[in-house]
Amino acid sequence: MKKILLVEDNENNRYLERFLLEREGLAVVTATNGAEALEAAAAENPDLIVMDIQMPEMDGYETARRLKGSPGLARIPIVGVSSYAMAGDREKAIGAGFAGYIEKPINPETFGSEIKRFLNMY
Amino acid sequence: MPGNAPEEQLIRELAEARQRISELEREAARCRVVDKALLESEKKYRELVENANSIILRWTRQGEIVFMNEFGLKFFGYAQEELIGRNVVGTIVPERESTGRDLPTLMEQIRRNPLDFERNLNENMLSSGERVWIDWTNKVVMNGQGQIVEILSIGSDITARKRAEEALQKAYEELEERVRERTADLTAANERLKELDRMKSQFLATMSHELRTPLNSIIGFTGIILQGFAGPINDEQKKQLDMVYASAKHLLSLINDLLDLSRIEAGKLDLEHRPFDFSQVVTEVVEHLVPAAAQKGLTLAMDLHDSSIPMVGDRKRCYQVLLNLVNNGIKFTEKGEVRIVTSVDGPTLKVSVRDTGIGIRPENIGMLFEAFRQVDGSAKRIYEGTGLGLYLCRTLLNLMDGEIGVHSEFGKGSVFTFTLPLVGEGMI
Repeated sequence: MKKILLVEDNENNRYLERFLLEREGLAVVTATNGAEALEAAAAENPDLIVMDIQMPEMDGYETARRLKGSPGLARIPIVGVSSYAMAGDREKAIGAGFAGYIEKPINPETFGSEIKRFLNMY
Repeated sequence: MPGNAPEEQLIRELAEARQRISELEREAARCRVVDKALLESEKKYRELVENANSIILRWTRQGEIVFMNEFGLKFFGYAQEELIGRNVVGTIVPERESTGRDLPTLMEQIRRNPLDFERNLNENMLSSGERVWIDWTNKVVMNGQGQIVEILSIGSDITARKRAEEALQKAYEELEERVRERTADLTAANERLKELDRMKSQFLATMSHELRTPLNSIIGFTGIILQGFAGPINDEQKKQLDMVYASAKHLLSLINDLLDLSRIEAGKLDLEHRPFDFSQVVTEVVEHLVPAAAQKGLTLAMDLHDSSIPMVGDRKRCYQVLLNLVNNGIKFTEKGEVRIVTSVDGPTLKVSVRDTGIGIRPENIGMLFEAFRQVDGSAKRIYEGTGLGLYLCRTLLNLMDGEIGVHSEFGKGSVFTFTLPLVGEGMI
C-alpha cells in the first residue's frame, strides 16, 4: 500500500483530502504545518507528499526547499495544493521542488485519481 | 569874445555835467528796474522753495545741515535754529533703520560720493521720534572752482506707500505660509489615503484567502456526498445539495472577483504568456454554462471562424472574461439565445457575445464598465452579483492589450465585443 504524507493546516480540508485519498486505497499520514511535515517525512518515509502551499509560519515553498535540501528526503515527490493559483505560481512551485500542482477548491471527483497519477509517474 | 572864455568854459562844463547827471539818472532808473526784477525773482524763488510740497535740504560734505525749507521743517517738526549747523545723523537721520541698516555709514557714503547717490530711499526720523520713509534725490552744489561744497537733497514722504508695500508683503508671506501649511496637510492626507488603500488591498487579499479555505471544505464535502462517495442519498437530498453546491461555487466566483480586483489595484496581477487554443476556451465555457442556459430554456450557441484558434497569452484570464460575458448574457436573457461569435482581423482576435435579453438603456451604457455598478433600471436589485464582472473584464482585457465595447438595444438584446492580440506582448 502506497503511503501519502498529507500536509494541510485546515482541519476540515485535511479530513476532506484524507477521505478522498483513503478512498483510492492509499495509506495517509498527516501533518498540520511545515515543521511537522519535515519530522513526519523523516519518520514515515512516504511515497508522496501532498502539501498545502499557503500555511502560516513555514509555508509550502519553504518546507519543500528544506525537504529537497535533506539527503534522505529529497527523492520524495511533492504535489502542491493551492487556493487560487496566479500566473507564476506554478513556476514558483516547480522552482521550490514541487513535482506538480493542484488548484483549490479541489474537485472531489478527480482529486484522488490525480494523486494516483503522480504516484505512478514517480 | 576872448573875455568870455572862462564863462564859456563853465557853461560847457555845466552842460556836460547836466548831461552826465541825466545819464546817471537814466542809469539809476534802469538799475531800479533791474533791482526790482531781481527782488521779484528772488521772492518767487524763495516762495517756491519754502512752499514746495517737498523737503528741500542743503547739507555740507561733513554732514552739517545748512538749509531746510519751511515744508521740511514743518514735516520734521523742527524750528530753523534747531537744525541749522547740526549733523543730519541724530536729527533727521536715525542711527539705525528699522530694517537694521546702519544709516550713519550710508550718510558717509553719500557725503563721500554724492554723485553715486542721485536717488536713495531711507528711513528718517521726526522730532517726535516717529519713523518715516523718504525718497531722496541728491544733487551736488559746486563752487567757482568746480569743487563740491554742498549737497542739495529733495525728499518726498513715501511712508504711506512703504507701509502699504510692507502690509502687502506681509500678507503675501502669510499667504505663502498658509499655502505651505495646506500643502503639507494635503501631502500628509494623501499619504494616509495611500496607506489606507494599501491596507484595503491587503485586507481584501487576506480575506479572500481566508474565505476560500472554508469554501474548499464546503465544495469538497458537498461534492463527495453528491457523488455518493459517503453513501447513497435520495433525490430530494441530491436536489438540495445541488443548490448548496451551486451557491458555494457562486460565492467562490464572487470572492475570486474581489481578489482579482485587489490584485489589480495593488498592481500585483501577473499574466501568463503561453500558447493555447482559443477555440477550446470557447468550448469549455459553453460546456460549463450549457446547464445554466438549458435551465432557463435558452440556446447557447457558438460560431467559430476556425476549428483551431492558436493564441499566445493568458488562457485562464481569457476563459474568465468569456465566462463572465456569457454568464451575463444568460443572466439577463429570459428567452431566445446567447451566441459566441469569433473572427480574426489581421493580428487581432474579435469575440462577440450576443444575447436576446433585456438590453441596456443608452443612458446606462456609460457606467456599465465601472466597478461596483449593476444596471437594472430600478432601485431594487433583481440580479445577483457584485457588479465587478464587467469592470474586471475590461481591466483584464486592457492588461492584455485588448478592448471591450457594447452595442445594445433596450428590450431587444446586447452584443458585447472584445478584441485581443493573437500573440500577446512578452512572447515576441
